[in-house]
Amino acid sequence: MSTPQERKARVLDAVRRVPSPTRREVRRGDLGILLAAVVASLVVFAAVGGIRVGSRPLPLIVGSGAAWGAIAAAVTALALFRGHSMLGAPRAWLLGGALAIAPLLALTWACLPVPSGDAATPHAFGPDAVCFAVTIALAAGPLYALVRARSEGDPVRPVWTGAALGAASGAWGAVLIDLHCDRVDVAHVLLGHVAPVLLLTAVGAVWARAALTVRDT
Amino acid sequence: MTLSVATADVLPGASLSLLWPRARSRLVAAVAPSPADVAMARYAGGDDAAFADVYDLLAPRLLRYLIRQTRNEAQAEDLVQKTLLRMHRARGRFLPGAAVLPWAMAIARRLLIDDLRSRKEERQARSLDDEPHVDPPDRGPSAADLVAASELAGRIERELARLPTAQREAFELVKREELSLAEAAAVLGTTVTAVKLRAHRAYQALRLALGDLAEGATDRGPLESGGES
Repeated sequence: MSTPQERKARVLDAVRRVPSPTRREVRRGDLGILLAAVVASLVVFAAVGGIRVGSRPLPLIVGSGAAWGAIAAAVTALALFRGHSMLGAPRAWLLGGALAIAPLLALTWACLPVPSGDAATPHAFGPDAVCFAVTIALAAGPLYALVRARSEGDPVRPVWTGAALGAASGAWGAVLIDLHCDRVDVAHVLLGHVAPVLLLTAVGAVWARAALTVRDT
Repeated sequence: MTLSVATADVLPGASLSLLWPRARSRLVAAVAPSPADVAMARYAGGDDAAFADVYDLLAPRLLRYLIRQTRNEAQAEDLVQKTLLRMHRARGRFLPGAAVLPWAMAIARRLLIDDLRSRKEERQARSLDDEPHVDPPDRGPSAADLVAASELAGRIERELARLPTAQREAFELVKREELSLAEAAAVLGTTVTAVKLRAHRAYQALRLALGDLAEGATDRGPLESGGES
């Protein structure tokens, strides 16, 4: 059995051998990656054609963009909020953020003044899949940046934090795809714009299990 | 763990109402940063020398907590080392003004769970015949006191070990590690109400199990006051 002095010397020696970044360095790194992720999302957005009005009335575009943007901002703040605790946000908040966002986006859309008739417009599988994939692509960068910003930072409930981060990035992807896609039928919006949020929530949860927790690796 | 803490915390004659005012006062006290919080904040800010202070302030408590959980001093030492290295690795993420002890406890608990899983010990097999770990008292009690204290502490440990894990953890964090209810809830990933309930049930179970000590405790006064640290 080693003495307390030997144990301390061993730990201090290990710490000296493997330097770790200070708070300032971590913040700088996180900010850089977040900016890069935003730029990457905007590049994807521009590459697919940017904002498209199509036959949509302007109040619908502005209304859905503002409402979904507010939801995305709220869930992002909720997922990243830690207050003065190192143990993450309360579970109820994270649960709400992770599980309520997709239904909330759908509900918000249902409350918007969508032109009548379009809901019955038949559509092929293609456009839904394209929007689904583009939404994922738009959200991938922010998801990476958000998970990295909380890496090794949640020893208590990493899965729920990751799910909330996934939902937050998915919500930002939904905002952008909604600005881009001019289809307004409900089925398409649900499948192509909202469903990716569910997938990203699941991806965030699985990823966070490895990235956010403090495991003996 | 000192003998006085072990006995005073679970003596059947103690008033249950003492538990919550103490917890409340700890909650108030938790608002002011502890020396460990200050040291960790300095370390996170780039003062490399502050890690020695962090170690001095946290390692003994972590070791005590982990020895109680593992019943294995070598395993506990290993986990303390890993916990402190994880804290070192994540120092840049430490928030100014945050409490470091609940964070350290949560990391230690997570590493302990992983360690137990890796050893395929989902539940710690604690035989009633196992020799309990007892910290030596700081002052020099008599041999008879030591034997009696060892028996008492051993019995308390055995009764604690028989409690459901959730109750035992809540009890130990609140009563022995003196975390606030909110901190213990955060470490365990549950609500303050749940921690209160678990600690209360653990306390009641211990009172019931150690009921016969109620009278004996009055005869063993020196044990209750001895070994204070």
